[in-house]
Amino acid sequence: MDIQSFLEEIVGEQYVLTEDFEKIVYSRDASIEPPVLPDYVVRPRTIEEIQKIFTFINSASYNHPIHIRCSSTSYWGGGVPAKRSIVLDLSRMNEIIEINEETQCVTVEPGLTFGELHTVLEHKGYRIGERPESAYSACIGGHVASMGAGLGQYIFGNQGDQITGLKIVLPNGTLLTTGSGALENVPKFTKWMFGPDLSGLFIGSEGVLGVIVEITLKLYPLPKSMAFATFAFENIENTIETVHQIQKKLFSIQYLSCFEGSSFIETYPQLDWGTKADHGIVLTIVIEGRSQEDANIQKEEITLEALKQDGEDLGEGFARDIFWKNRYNWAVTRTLRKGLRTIILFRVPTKKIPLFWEETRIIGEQFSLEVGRSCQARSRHFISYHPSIRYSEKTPEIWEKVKECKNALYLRFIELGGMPCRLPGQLPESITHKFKHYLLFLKKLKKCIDPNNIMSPNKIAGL
Amino acid sequence: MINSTSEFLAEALYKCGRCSYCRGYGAETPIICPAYELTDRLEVASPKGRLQIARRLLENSIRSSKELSQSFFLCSLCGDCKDKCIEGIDTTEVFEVIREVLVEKNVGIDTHSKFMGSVVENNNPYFEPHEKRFEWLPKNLETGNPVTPEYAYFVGCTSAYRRQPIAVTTTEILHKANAKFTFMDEVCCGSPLLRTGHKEVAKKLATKNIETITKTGVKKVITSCAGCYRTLKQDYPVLLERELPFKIIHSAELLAELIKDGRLELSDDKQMKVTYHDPCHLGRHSGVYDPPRDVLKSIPNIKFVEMSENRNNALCCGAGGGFRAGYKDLSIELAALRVSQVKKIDAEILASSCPFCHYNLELGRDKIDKNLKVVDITELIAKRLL
Repeated sequence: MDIQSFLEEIVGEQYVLTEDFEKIVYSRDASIEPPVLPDYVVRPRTIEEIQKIFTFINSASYNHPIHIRCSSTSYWGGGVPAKRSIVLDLSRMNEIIEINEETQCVTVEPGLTFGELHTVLEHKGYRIGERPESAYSACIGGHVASMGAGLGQYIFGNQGDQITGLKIVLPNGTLLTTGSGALENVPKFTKWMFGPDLSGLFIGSEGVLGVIVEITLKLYPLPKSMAFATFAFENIENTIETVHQIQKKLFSIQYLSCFEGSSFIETYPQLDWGTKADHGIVLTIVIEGRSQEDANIQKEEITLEALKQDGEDLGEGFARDIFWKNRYNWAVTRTLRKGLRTIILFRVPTKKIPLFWEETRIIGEQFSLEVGRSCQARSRHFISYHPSIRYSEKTPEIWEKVKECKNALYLRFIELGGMPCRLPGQLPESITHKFKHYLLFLKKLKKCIDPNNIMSPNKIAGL
Repeated sequence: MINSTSEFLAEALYKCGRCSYCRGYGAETPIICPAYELTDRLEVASPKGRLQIARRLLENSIRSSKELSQSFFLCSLCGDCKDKCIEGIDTTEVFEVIREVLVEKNVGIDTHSKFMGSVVENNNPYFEPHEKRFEWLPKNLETGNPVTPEYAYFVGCTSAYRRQPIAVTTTEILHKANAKFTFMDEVCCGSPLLRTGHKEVAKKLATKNIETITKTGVKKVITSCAGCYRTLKQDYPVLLERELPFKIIHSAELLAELIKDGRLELSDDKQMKVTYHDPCHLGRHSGVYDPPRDVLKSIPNIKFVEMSENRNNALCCGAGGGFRAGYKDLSIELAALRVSQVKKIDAEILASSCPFCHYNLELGRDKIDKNLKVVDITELIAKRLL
């Protein structure tokens, strides 16, 4: 039987897309990576359909890799399929399966967006711990598979820390359940069973080991009170020293971000930006508290730290009225405000940020490209640094230069002691070679779980 | 394949970074793209999908076809994606331009071509004789042709042929307010044609209507249809490349003014819980949100409640943009979805200010709750006139 007929038999004819105009929309994500047209797009609704698809593709010799896709809001090429792919579009799998108030967990399908989940949870007085700043369009499955970051991470941990169980369809079609939910009649309240953390194998795996088809996440009550603060500093050194002092203490920080002031003043001229923001750095902080008094006390302590480093107090305005109001589409607002950008994501020891900041400027100048700089404290232990390079879809001739600049930044950041959040297959060997041993182990794991290499080739370098 | 509008399209299409927000799901706006939602989240039916396809059409790297054109016509041009686009892409304009191109290539929608034929022959898309356009007008409401009318009432095809009570109540109100107004020998405003790729025919209608209105000597034109309002006010100046010599006023705006000036007195009645549906062409497309609300709130003993999806976040009723003609079942499904949002707030009455919305919302209502009353705001006001 040919592949198309087989896929149509499993999911129904209307859910297999083969026309070029249909496949075009699956050929790119939100990154600069050029399009790759898949061979087929299949849109399953159930786990059983996916199992049948995988069993067939894995056993036959059609040589069509499988590429998993939810929303494809990846800014680093994670949503671009490999050549000859069968794209597995999970957007039809978008239900909330269960809200368990007893165990304080919610179980969802991978194609559900964070925005949809929040709309339901907030009505019940709940939230999940971490949600991206692209919540309205980002799907939960993709976020888990790419180990995304976002709001709330500072307090609750990253998305991987929120998981109490997964269901994964492995390349051979087997369904694996991780966590306590693997046992019949036991609710999904913890990802820890005996032995190693199997959930962890798939969190951040970019679809190379299997497809996540169900996710259970921890629930938390909505914050009781909030406080907002914005400061401007003359330079990145003073800013980061403030952040470092904040990280040393125990504050309940929903969000902490530093960015070049000039990049936002133009967009929000109605706000009072003081005297330093124009040429300096703006620090935005959102605090939650058990009471308004608690939130205010935290804010006062944070303000004292900022003032010690000559920070200028800009009040609540930006943090509350601009950022917090747009927090669920902030990734889009922040990133795309002044044109398209490609983003590099690194985790960096806090005190090293000034060095990274300066190196970014130098490399940007070397390539004569506009490289924006910003960072966020996602934890008390490091900073997420994400410089972004501006590009235009109208001028593909500069894309190579943008990629070279990106590679140069990658190499330099690794040399300086930063950890890349992604290692996509498009990176050159000069970079991926630095992770030789780590990648060797991943390759062995991949060989064991996906011996026919049907899953998402090249989403992680060398796999 | 696309030549004269290439510059506009290139400017718009190369801005899209595929962020997917245009088909996202948010707190105030649970559904941004109705077509994406109704097609089980089919990417080609989303604004992002359409922009990607449009770009390939512009680059000549893909051929148009009947199947491809479905992607562009499966859209009510509600404008929610345009409202939400961070890059400021005028998505509805892009889709209208692409529709023109597809119609030129003979891959448009058959039902659209049919109603276009009716407009050419009968001056309305409803296959009704032009001579019956004012059959709704009772003798006691005829204007008597005032010498110097202040207003011309542009009735519009849907009020004239399908939602005649709205034409009647608007006329009653004008009489009650002692407004000097006149009717005229109007033809279709052209909105259905503009939205479905038949721009050249729409241009001819615009020329005719402008001539007719100008002959009346009025400086103000009233319409109770959101589609006519948007078309007369925004599209005519662009189509005809000149400013209009008169002002276009929606009946909701006029009502708000008349009530504020004390020219209309309204009686009391039993309390009713009323909500308001923002027609896309009046709300998102034209920015008119407050006047209809002011009108509703001024009615004695009306408890006005907002749906959570209101103003620029309102869900489309599913009628406009050729959606109803091209995809009737999906159109009614969308109307039913809108009515289900009304049900969440327990409103007894769903008011709107567009006969086309009224038309489709009634069909949606019939699927959800036949007890819900769907009314035009002119109908509510007319019932309370003292």
